[in-house]
Amino acid sequence: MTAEEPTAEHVIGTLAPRDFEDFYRARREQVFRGLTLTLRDRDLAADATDEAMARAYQRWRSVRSHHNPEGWVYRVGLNWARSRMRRTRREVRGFRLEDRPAPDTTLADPAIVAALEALPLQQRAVVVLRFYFDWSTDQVAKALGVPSGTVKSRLSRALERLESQVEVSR
Amino acid sequence: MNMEDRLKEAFEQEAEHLHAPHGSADTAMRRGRRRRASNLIGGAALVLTLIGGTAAGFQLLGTSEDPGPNELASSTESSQPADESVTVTSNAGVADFVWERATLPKPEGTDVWNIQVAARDGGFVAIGSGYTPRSEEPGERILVWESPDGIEWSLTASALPFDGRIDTLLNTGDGFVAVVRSFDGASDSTSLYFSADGTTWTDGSADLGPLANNQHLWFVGAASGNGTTVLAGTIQTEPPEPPVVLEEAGLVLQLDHFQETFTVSDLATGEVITVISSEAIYGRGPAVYGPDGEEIVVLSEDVLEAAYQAGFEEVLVVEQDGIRVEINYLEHTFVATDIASETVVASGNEDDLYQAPRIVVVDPDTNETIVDMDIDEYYRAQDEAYGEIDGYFPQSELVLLASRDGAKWDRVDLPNDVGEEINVSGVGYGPNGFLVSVNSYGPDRAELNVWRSADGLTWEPFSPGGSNDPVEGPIVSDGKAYYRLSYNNRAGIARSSDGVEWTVVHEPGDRGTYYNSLASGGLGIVAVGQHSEDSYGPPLVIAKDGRTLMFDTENGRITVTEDATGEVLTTIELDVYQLEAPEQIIEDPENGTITITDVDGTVVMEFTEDDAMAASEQADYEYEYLPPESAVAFSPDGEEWFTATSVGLDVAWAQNVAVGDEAVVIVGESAEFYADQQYGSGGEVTVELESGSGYGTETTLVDGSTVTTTIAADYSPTTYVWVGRPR
Repeated sequence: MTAEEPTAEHVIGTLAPRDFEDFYRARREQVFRGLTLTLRDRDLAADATDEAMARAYQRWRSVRSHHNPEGWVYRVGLNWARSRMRRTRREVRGFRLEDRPAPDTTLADPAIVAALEALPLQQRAVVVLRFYFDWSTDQVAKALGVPSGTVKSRLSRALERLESQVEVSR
Repeated sequence: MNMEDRLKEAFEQEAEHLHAPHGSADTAMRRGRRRRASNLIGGAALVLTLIGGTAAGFQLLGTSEDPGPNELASSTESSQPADESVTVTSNAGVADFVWERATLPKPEGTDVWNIQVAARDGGFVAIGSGYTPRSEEPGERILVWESPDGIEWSLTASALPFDGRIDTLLNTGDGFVAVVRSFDGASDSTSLYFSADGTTWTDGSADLGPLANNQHLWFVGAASGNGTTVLAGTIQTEPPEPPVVLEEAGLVLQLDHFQETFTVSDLATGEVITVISSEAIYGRGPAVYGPDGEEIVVLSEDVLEAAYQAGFEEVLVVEQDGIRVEINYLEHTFVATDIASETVVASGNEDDLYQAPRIVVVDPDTNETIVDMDIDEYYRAQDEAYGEIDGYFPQSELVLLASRDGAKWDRVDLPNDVGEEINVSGVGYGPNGFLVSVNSYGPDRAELNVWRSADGLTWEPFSPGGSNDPVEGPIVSDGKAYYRLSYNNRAGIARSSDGVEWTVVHEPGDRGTYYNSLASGGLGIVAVGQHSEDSYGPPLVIAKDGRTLMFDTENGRITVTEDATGEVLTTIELDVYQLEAPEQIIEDPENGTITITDVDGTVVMEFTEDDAMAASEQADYEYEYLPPESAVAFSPDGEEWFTATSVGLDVAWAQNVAVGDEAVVIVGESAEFYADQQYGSGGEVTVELESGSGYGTETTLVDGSTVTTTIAADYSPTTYVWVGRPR
C-alpha cells in the first residue's frame, strides 16, 4: 500500500462507494416513481431503475460529477426500457383507471391519467420530469440529452394535447 | 385549477402508491439482472403480457405440482437431474434458534460498509471499508473486528488507507481480497490486495490490460482451496452509440457519450476527418436573437434556475447582461427589453428562444464546411441509426484470476466461449475442486454454465444438465458437496456432490421467501434471506359476463369460475419454462382478445387486452408495501433441511453470513429501517453550492469548489450483526 498526497480527483475517487450508496438511497425511489409514471408499467420501471443504477455505479465517478445524476439515471433507465420494449415487442400500456370498479379518494384524476397515457412516450417523459420532478426546462433538457428547444416544443405539444383530451373527456 | 397543477396533483396521487422493491444497492442490481434473465427465458412472459405483465409472476411461476406449505416435509422432486448419492429431506421442520443483535464498534465519525464476516479459530473476524468524512485521510481504511462469540466485538485494526477507494471486499473462505480502484486523473486502475486475517495485506499484481472508458471491471466472487485463490468477475463493455450515417455527404458521425465528442469520418474510407465536442449537437440554453439572427443574450442555466426557483405565475422574468426577458408561458410569447433604455429589443413566440444550433462541421485541413444541417435533420438520421439496432445491452467478458500467494495473479481463460452477455453467478471450492458458474443470456433464454478446475488454472466445462436456471450468489461447500442458491420455479437451495448434477434440496414453504446469502461452517449450512407477504401482490381478477377469471401470481394458476354457482369451469397451470402459451389460452392480436377454453376446447371466457390491463392495474393499485421479514434455512449435514426460527432476528438484507462451530453470524441491514421509512422519504439532501451537484457529506470538486451536503441522521440503514445459536 502506498499513501500519496490527496488530489481533488483522488478525493472524488475515494468517496465514490459511500457516495453512491447515499445517492442510491436518496434517489432510487424518486427515479422509480418517475419511470413508472412515464412508462406506465411498474415492473418495467423497477427493472429499468435497477439497470440504470447498476450502470451509474459502474461509472459513478463521471456520473456523480454530472450536473444532474438523477437525470442521468432517469434517462439511462428510460432508454433501457425503450430498448427492452423493442426487444420484447411489448407495448407501453397506460393505466386505465376509469375501468376500475370502485373509485377511491386517493386516485389520480382519471381524465388526466387517460390523457397522459395517450401521449407519446417522449412527450410523457418531458411532462413527468417537468411536473413531477419539478425540474426546469433546461434541467429536463440536460437530463434527456436534448436541446432545450426540443423540450419546450414537446412540453408545449403535450400540454395542448392534454388540454384537448381532457376537454373531450368532460 | 390549470393543467400544470392538475398534472402535479395527479402525479403526486399516483406516486403515493409506488414503492420501489426494497433492498440494498447491490441486491437491487442483482435482482435486476435476475429479473431480466427470467423475462428472457420465460415463454410464460407471453401469457403474462396478455394477462397483465406482473414481473413477480415472470420470475417464479409455479409448476403443476405446486405443493402447499405443509406438503413439503418430504423428499423433493426436482426438474433437474437428481443427485442420487443422498436422500435429502427438504423441510424436516423447524430448527429452534436464539438470535441476538450486536453492533460493530467503529471509530468516531467513520462510515463503515462492505462488511465481510468469517469464522476463525473458534470465533469470528469481520472486515469492512471505512471512510471518515472531513478527516485528512485521502482514502479508505480496512477495519477489522474480532469476536470470540459473535456478540462481543472489538475493533482490532484499522489499516492504513489504501491508495484509492475500496471497490469490493470478498471473502474467499480462507482469507479476504480487497479490490481497490485508483484514478490518476486520466484513467482507472485496479489493484488487488489479499489478506489471511484482514489485518496484514499483500499488494497483488494482475495483468488486466487497459480498460477503455466504456469498460468496467467488476469482481463478484472469490474462493480458496488447494493452496490457490480464484477470483471471478466480468469486464462489461458498453456498446457504442450507433453511427449516424450521412449518405449524401459521405460522412459518418460517431457520438461518444463518455468523451462527449463526435467523431466525423469519411464514409468510404473510414478516415477520421475531425473530432468535435458533442455540445455542438446538444446545444445550449435559450437565447434572444436580433432581427438579423445575431445573438443578443444567451440565458445561463444558473440565472434561469434561480428565476424558476423564485417562483412565477404566468410570466417568468429573467435578467442577464442588461437584458430583461419575460417569458409568458400561458401565451407562449416572450419580450426582451434593454433594461437601461427600457427598449424592446426582441419579441415573439417563446419557441424562438430555443433555436437549436445548426450543426456545422469544418474540415480542419481544407477549412471547408462539410456538415451544415439543422437539428431535425440530425435527429432523423439518428432515428434511422437507432432503427438498425436491437436493444442496448453491454457485452460482458469473463475474468478469472488465480493466485497461490496473493501477490501474483494470473488471468485464466476458460476453454470455450461463454457468450457476450453473461454474468458470473458464483465461484466456490469443494470436493471436486473449484467451480465457477456463469449465466449466459441469449435472445430467447438464459442458461447456467459451470466450469470445474482442480487447481484454479486449468478449467473444463461441465454440462449444465439442461438447466436454464440462472442463479445468483455464492457456491459453498461442506467438504462433501456443493451448495448454491436456486431460483428454479421458486427460491431454494441446490446441492451437488460433483458440481455437475444439482438437486434442489430445500424450498421454503411459500413463494414470498427467497434467500440471498449462503454460508457453510461447523454448525452446518445456513441460507439467509427475506420473506415478504406482498411479493406477488393480489391476484388479477377479470369479471365478465357472469364469470370470473382469477390469476394467482403466487402459484401461476388461472381459474375461471361461474359466478352464480361457484363452479370452477377450468384451471390452467402456467409454467415459467413453457415456451408457448398453453393451448387453453388463445390470443387474437388483431382483435386484441384473449379466449380461455377448458381442456376440451370449449370456450369458457373471452376478454380483451384492455380488460386484462385494467385487472393488472387494479392489482397494482392494491399492492401494499410491507417491510420484509427475516428468513433462515438451516441444515446440520446438507441432507436434512430446517426452517430456522427467527424470533429476535430482524435482518432485512443480509450482506454476509458466517457459520461457526456454535453460532451463525449475519451482517446486514435491519428491517427497522424499511419499516420506519421507505426509500427516499426519510432523507433530505441539501446541496449548498452555486453550480453543479453532488452527494456525500463534503466533496471537493475537480475545479476546487466545495460541495456540502446535509444528510439526515436516519438517512441510511445501520449495519448490525445478528448472532444465532441453535437452542
